[in-house]
Amino acid sequence: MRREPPEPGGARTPDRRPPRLALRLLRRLLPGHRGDELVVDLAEEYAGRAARSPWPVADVWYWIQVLRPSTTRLGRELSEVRTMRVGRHRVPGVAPKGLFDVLRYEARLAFRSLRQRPGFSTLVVLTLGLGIGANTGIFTVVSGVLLEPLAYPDPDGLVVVGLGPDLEGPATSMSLPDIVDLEEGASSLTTLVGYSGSTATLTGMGDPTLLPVGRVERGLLSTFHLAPVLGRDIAPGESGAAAAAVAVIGYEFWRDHFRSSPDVLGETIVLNGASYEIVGVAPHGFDFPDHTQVWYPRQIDPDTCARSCHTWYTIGRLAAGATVPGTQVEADAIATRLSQAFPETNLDKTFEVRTLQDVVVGRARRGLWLLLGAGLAVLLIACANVANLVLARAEARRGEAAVRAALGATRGRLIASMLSESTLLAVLGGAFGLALALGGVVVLRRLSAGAVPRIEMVTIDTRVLLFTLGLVCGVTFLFGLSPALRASRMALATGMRRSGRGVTSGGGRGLRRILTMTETALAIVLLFGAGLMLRTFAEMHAVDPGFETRRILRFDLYLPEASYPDLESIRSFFRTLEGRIAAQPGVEAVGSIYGAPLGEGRSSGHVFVDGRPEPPPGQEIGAVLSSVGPGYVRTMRIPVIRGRDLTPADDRSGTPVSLVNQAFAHAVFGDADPIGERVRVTVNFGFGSPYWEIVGVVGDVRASSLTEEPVPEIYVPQGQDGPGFMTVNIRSSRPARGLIGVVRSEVRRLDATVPLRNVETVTDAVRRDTASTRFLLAMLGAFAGLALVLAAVGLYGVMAYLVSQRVQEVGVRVALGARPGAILSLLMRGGLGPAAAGVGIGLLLSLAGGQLVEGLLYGVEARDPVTLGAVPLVLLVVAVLAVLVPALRATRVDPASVLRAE
Amino acid sequence: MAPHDGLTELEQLVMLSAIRLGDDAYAAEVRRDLGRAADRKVSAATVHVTLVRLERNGLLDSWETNPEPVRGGRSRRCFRPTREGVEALRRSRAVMDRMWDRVRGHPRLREA
Repeated sequence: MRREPPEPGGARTPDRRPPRLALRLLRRLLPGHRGDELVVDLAEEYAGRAARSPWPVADVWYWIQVLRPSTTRLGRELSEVRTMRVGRHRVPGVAPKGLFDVLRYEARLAFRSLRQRPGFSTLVVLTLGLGIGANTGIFTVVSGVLLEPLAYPDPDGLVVVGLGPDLEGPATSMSLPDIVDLEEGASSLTTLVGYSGSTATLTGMGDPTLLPVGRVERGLLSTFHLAPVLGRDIAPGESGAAAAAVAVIGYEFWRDHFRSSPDVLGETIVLNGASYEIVGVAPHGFDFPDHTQVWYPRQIDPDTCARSCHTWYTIGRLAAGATVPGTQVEADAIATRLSQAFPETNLDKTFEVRTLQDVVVGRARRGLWLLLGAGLAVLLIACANVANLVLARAEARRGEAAVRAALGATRGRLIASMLSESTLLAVLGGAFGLALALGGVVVLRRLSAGAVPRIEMVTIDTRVLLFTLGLVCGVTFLFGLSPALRASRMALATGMRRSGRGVTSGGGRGLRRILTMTETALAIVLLFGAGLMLRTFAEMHAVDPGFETRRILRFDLYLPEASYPDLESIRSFFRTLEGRIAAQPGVEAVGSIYGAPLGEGRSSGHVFVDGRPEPPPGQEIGAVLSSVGPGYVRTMRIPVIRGRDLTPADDRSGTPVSLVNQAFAHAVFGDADPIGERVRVTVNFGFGSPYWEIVGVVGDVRASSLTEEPVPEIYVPQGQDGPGFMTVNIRSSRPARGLIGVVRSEVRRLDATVPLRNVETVTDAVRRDTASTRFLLAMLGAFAGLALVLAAVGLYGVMAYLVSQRVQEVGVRVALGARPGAILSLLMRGGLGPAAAGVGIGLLLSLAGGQLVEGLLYGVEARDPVTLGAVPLVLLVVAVLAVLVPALRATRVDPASVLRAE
Repeated sequence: MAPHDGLTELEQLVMLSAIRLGDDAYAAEVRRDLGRAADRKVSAATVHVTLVRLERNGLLDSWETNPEPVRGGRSRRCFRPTREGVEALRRSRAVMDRMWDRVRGHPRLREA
């Protein structure tokens, strides 16, 4: 009921009207009936002034009145007035018009309306929070592990070249001549440096400690675009046959051991009994590879195996503008050339170029993206649930929307009003989710230790916050827009007519069916993934590793070469130690090995049989060479299948003998008896004879991983050949960890300069080996469980709603004599139909997406029929329960009371 | 502002004017009255804001008059203090009186 300023020609109306623009602005500032009071007052006064003064004076005055702060304040005051008295009636206050005012107004309305329905609001915020929290948590890991660049300058240009193809695992090692040829031949590489990570015993600086060290072909710093903070890096000429006794130390080592003294250059450190002169200090934070703090030149014996010894890892830098695929093309060409030039060592050898980031992240990549996908699926289910709730609520409030529409609210305004509620819910859900993620990341870090690299880098940062914000926006539109559009259309078309009657429109039911179907389908996909991981986990645990895994404590010892220069000193150290430990109460057996299963350090080479022609290049049989103490096979309960075990008498004075595993026997001798045969292996530990007589065949062990098939292995007695690095295994009749203290003191008693390393139980090693599967299983399992619960809650909600809408119909049917069974099946068909369709769609999706998880499975196919059969069953049982409860309630409807209500 | 807080001077003036004007207490007339009796030049918007705020706080009541019996004649919103309004006005005055009493005979005031 807007009144215009007085018309010209009236009793008190002058000829002139206020400036049109100013009037429009004033109307915008002062909306509604109450605002007209001032509009008219000002128009009257303007007319008076315009009649008295020359032209622009009144206009200027009018503009000043419009732009006064008090005018804006009046607009605000008026919008605060919720109800006003018009005559004898109280009517709703005036709604604001400016965009900002509308937003504020709608936000306040939304808040108020959500506070009035705490049950609904809490359910929605919890549901969304769980979905958003799961995603934010996983994305935090993805962001920290996969997206965060490595903490080196220009990390994108750092590459690793290994022997290919090895698409998923860490890079393999190379031979030094190949590395040199690659660096010289590939123009897209500015540097390619060989190194090998190792450990060395540091003495002369307090207690002896084992340090991670890098033995390098030359300094690594320039490849990383770094410069030493003090002194220089290792020069190219310093490695080689007579390696220079110089070392570069890490910044942290410099700080901790030399108090950051600038006079450190020229000092010496003693590693493995040898002295190295410090020539440089690496910059802060540089610890490549693997937390290395000391780098020194690696000795290269020109007479050893050269191109056939793959003992070097590489780190290189791409030239400006070069790409990994381009470099790969060059590497392929070089590999072909070398294959022709050196067929005896390089036949079919290929090189594989990968970024350092890729190598570091490795296998974790696929699992993490998979989990992020699973998280999004959970969020979609949550959205579908919430959309259902919002839809039901919008229908319940159809009357309210219709009244607003009748009073002149536009469709856009109605949509905005409903969306603002959704936005508020999403924001609250996002805040709750973020809080969940904050706690979740702590749990994730612990859960994924050992399963995901760089997990310590993971924190909630700006990228994560932006991701969450994006989720909140996406979620708002997903669950809010469609119900808002529908409800606004309904309000305009049918709202008034139907308001108050419990009849659901066909369109609403359709949308609801689609939502139910979607969430069922997604839940099936998640359950399927979790099912496959569960089967994988079970298969892994069913695997017989071939050795005892319980109650065995083990630790590594590294005897420095300076104190233990020959085999006899090493042998006598380990025999004495084994004897002393074996005498401890509770110890059943003790045995040492170089090349422990699921442990560090394994050497492999080619095998040749004495008296047989050597196979042509490329067709040799490879085997892993281990050196074992006399009690090892017994300690690990590896069965001796033929012949005999090794004994303490197998030492330098006797014939060189060996044990082989079944895989070896089969690969080299087929069905023939290997006992008594003599074999030669192309690698040794520096003391061995060329030929080993096989005296026994032992059972296969899965030494590199539980999921990898056993490979040919040959065990030689440590008394005849072995390195100073051994793993001592102790089988105990009590919990193995109880022995740690005794073991430490025994080692110290024998040689106080030898530190213990990697003290663990074999059970720990098995856990580490299955860590990534356990992590994936735990996460996918949690997501699938969440999905199942959400889907069940969703189904229950929809069913309860549908039933409540059909109470009258049921009442009439019961009155007309329908049996409870018939009513039940009628109602359940309505609820279970979409669920069944969702199951079908979900199964199809699972089959199609199977190859995404293929690389993460073990012992199970991506189309595993057991999982395919079990998952729909689980879901259907849950669905029937969710639908049954409200349907049963409906059958107990009292027809009389329903008809009375009619 | 809570309904029973003290009134600002302008609010007191507006309420006093509304009491004096009786059935003619609409915004434009209140404004003219303030100009005449209190020598106050206040913008129309300020008077409106004050009236609306007082009404929202329950100190004024308002109603709409019938349109004036001329062509284009308008109806006006008139204001009347509620019982709480009168109370608040009294309290504000009492506070002022108390404050004045406490400085009665003060040398500063004599100088002025």
